[in-house]
Amino acid sequence: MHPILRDASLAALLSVALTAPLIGVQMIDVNGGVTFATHLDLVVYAAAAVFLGRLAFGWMRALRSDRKPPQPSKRRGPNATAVGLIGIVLAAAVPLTNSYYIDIGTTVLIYVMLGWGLNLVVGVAGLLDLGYAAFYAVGAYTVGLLSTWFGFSFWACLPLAGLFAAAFGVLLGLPILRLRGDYLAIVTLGFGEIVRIVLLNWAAVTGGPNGIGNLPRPSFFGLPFARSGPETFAGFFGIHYAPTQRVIFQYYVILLLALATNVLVCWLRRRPIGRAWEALREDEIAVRAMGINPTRVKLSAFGTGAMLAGFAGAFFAARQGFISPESFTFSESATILAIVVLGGMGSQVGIVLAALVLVVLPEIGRSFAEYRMLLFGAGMIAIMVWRPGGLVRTRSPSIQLRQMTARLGLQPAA
Amino acid sequence: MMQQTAGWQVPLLEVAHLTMHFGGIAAVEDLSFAAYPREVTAIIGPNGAGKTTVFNCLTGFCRPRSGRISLQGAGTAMRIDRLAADRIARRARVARTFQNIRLFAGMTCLENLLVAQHHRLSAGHLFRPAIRAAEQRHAFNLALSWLERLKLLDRAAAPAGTLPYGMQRRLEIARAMCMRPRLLCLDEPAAGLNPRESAELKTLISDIRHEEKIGILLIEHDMSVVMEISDRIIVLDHGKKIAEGPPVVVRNDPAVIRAYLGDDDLDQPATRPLVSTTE
Repeated sequence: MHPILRDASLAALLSVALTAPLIGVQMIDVNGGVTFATHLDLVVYAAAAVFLGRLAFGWMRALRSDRKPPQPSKRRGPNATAVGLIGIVLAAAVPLTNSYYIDIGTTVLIYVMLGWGLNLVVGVAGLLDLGYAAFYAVGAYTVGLLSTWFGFSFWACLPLAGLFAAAFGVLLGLPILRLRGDYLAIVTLGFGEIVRIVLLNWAAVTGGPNGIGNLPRPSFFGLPFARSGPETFAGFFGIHYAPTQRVIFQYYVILLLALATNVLVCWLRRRPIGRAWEALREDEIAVRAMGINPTRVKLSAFGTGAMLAGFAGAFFAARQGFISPESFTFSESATILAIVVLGGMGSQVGIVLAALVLVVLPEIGRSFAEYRMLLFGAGMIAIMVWRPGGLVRTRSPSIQLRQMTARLGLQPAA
Repeated sequence: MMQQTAGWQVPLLEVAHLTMHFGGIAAVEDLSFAAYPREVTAIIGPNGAGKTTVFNCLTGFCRPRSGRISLQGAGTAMRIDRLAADRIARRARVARTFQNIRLFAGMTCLENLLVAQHHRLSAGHLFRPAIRAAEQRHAFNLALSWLERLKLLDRAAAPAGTLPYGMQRRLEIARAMCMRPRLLCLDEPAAGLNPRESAELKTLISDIRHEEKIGILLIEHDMSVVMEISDRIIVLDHGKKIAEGPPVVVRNDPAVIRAYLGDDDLDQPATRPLVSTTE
C-alpha cells in the first residue's frame, strides 16, 4: 500500500477507536433506567473526515518535498518604515468607521501595547513571564484607588500607574530573577495569581469582587466629554455633544500610547542595554563573562516591561470606567503571551498581526458562537504548523556596520 | 627553572594554595602558580585534571573552597577569589573564552563585540555628550579593528551562530579582546580546528601577546600549539600540579609522561618525549 494511503488508514482507525466511545455511544435516560443509543453513522463520518484530511495532508507534504527547497533570497522583507507608516495611517483611519470597529480597534491596541511590553521581557530578554496581567492589574488599580480615594484625574494617575507597576516589577524581580526558564515561569504565574487574589479579598480597599466603578475618563486637556457641565469638550468647540466623541478620543489616546511604547522599545533595543537584554537571552554565562551584571539587566527588562503594562492597565481602567479582579485572570496573561509567541518573539510588526488575529478572530466567530473556541484553536494550530517561529520571524540587528563606519567618518567597508 | 624566564618581573596573576572540591572530589588541590604579563602560560593535563575548574575559579564562575587568587593591577594587588564573575571581568579585566563556544548566537558578529564593550558604551555621561560620543567612537573602532584583524569584517552582519566553527572560535577571541583585558584566558582555543586554522591561531596568540602586552593563560590539548607558543607550562593531574617550567623541561619530565602515558613507559623517559621535536 502507498505510504500516504497507509498513513491515512491508520489515522482513520485511530479516530474510530477514539470516537466510538466518545460520540458513537450515547447514554439515554429512559424512565429512570439507562440505555445506550449507538450513532455509528457519526463515527463513520468522523473516520472518513480524518481519512480524507490525512490523505490531503500527506499528499501536500509529498508535493512540497518534491519541489526544490526554496533558495534563501537576497531580497529583504518589505521596508519596515513603509509598513509602519501604512499601519499608522490605517489605524488612524479606524474612527471614520462605526463605533463597533472603534471599540474593537481600542481593544486590539490595548493588546498590541501589552504585547509590545511583554515582548521586551519574553522576546528580547528571554525571561518567561506568565504573570504579566499582574502588572496590568497594578496599573488599573492605581487609577482605581487613586481616583476614588484621592480624587486624582486619569492624566495624573497615568504616570503613577507606570511607576507603581515598574516598582512592583523590580520588587518581584529582586528575589526571583535568580531562577531560570521554567522555574521563573512558575513563580511569575504564582505572582499573577497572588495579585489577583489579594485584589479579590482585600475588599476594604479594592472593593473585592465588586470592583471599583465610576473611574475618571480621560479628558481632552482638562475638557471632559460630558453632555452638560461648565466646560465640556463639545461646549468649548461649539459642536453638538455625541457619545462617540469620547470613544474616538480614547481610541487616539491608546493609539498614541501604543506608538510611544513602540518608539521606546525600538529605541531601547538599539541602546547598549537592549543589546545586553538580547545577550542575556542568548547566553547568561557569557553575559557574566562580559562583565555585565545579569541581575541588573534582568531587573531593568522586568521593570520596563511592567511599566508598560502599568500604562496599558491605567488606560484600560479609564476606558472601561469599571475594574474588577475578573479582568486580570491567568487567561489574560496567557492571551498576551500567545500574542508575543504567535507574533514571532522579538518582532514588533508580528505582534500587531497576532493581536489583530487573537482579538478579531473571536469577534468574527461571534455569529456562530458555539464554534468560536474551535475556530480559535484551529487558528492557533494552523499558525503553529505553518509558521512555528511566529508570524514574523525576522530580527533586525541593533546596529549595522554602515551606520558605525558613518559615525566614525570612515568610508563604508566593501 | 621557573625563575629564569621572568624572575625580574612582577607576576600579573598569583594563585596560592587554590583548592576546589565538588562534593567529595577534589577537583583542584593546593595549586599555586603565577602568570606574567607578556607571557603565555599554558595549563595542560589529562582529561579531568581540573584545568577548566582552575579557569572557572579564576574567572569567578566557581567559588574556591580555599586559597588566594590575586591580580596585580596598577601597582596594587587585587584579590579576586571572592568576587562575582561579572566583577572580575569588569574590574580586574580578566576576559575568557569557553571550551564549548558561548557566543550570542542570534546576534550579529558586530553586536557580539559591542556587548563586550557594554560598560564603555553605556557609560553614564548623559549630560556630557562629547565624552559619550568619544567613548562610542573608541568602542566602534576597537570592534572594527578586531573584525578586520580576524578576517571577520565581511561577516559582521551575520548572526554569530551561523558562522563556520573556526570563525566562531575567532569571534570568541575577538569578543574577549574587545573587553581590553589584562589577562586573557583561552579554554582550548584550538579544539576542533584544522591544521591550517590552528597554525593561524598560534600566530594570533603570539601576536596578541607581543602587541597587546597582556598575559595569556591557555588550556590546550593540542601539544604542537602548547609547546610552540607557551613560555611556561603548568601540568595538572588529578587536581595537583605535577610539573612546571618552560616547554623544553616539561616535555621531558618523567612525571608528565607518566601522567599522560601511564606507568609502563617509565623505562625510557628521555627517549619518549611528549611531543617529538621534529613536529
